[in-house]
Amino acid sequence: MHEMTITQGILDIALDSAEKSGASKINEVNLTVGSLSQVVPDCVAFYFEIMTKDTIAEGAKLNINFIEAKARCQACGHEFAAEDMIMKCPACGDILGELITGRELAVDSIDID
Amino acid sequence: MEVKVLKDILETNDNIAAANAAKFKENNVAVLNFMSSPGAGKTTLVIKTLEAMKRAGIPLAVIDGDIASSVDADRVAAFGVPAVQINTGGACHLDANMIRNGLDKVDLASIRLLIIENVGNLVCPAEFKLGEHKKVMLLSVTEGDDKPHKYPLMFSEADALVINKIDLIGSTNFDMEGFQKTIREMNPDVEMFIVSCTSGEGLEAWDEWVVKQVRELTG
Repeated sequence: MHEMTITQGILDIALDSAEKSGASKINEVNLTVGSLSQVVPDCVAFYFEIMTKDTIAEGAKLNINFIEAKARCQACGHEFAAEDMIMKCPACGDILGELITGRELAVDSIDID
Repeated sequence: MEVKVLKDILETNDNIAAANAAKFKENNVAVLNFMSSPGAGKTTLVIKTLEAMKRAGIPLAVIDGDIASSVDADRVAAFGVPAVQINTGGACHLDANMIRNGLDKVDLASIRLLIIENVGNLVCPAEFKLGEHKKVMLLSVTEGDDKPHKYPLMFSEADALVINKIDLIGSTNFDMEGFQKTIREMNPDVEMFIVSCTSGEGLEAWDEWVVKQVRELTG
């Protein structure tokens, strides 16, 4: 629901990095998005297309590396899917899961000319 | 040519939130961020809480976030408590920058507790740090016991969970035992309070928790 803010953040970071590298064009923007980040990738892609107009990122490809949520049990070390945020370990039953992936929301890299 | 960036998209917000937190620390103010869906009873809980803080001799202020109107801030101001309304103009959540700007209108030196009432929404507010000490989530029993499964992030991030409208539970099929079991599996450390902001049932334990937070966080 806040994809516009997120997309603006992506664009700001990409343009800032491109400027620092002296780029004339951004060809690709590579993101890492965790499944718990509550961002709808299609929405981001749609806003990205609109918001990049008249910038050096116009027409750039937005690649999203989607990461599933996972937790690790602090008691037995078992790793399990944590999409539902249930931290009860399916192996030992202790409620000692610690989220290890799923909250990512970052610009990893850009491809520039 | 590929250039590594490795920058968190919410970093700008997180940095402003850290600056807000530093300001709260400097002024010795405890800050609670109230989040829930629309109509769960946030403003009513705020009012009940400010009455309790008056009794406990804890001066406070309230920042109200809404998409539009000053209805909530007006309700709070009627109790003689400083209230700042932030209209997000369509945004579904408060962010750290809105709080930073709103703080210009709050005399932090004269209060020990700041309550931030977020925009009614179970999704977005969980993503945006404001600089608060504790996240308080409300759920009313009329919303149903399935909400933790639908909005897991907010339930797993809360420091306190206030289950409101317990006076109406007889008219619902809310399974309190099952609900609390699910919450424990998501967030074993969360403090839970079962209350009715209308009848006052269960509010004593909640009031005590708030007073305890203020004492612990402000010394």
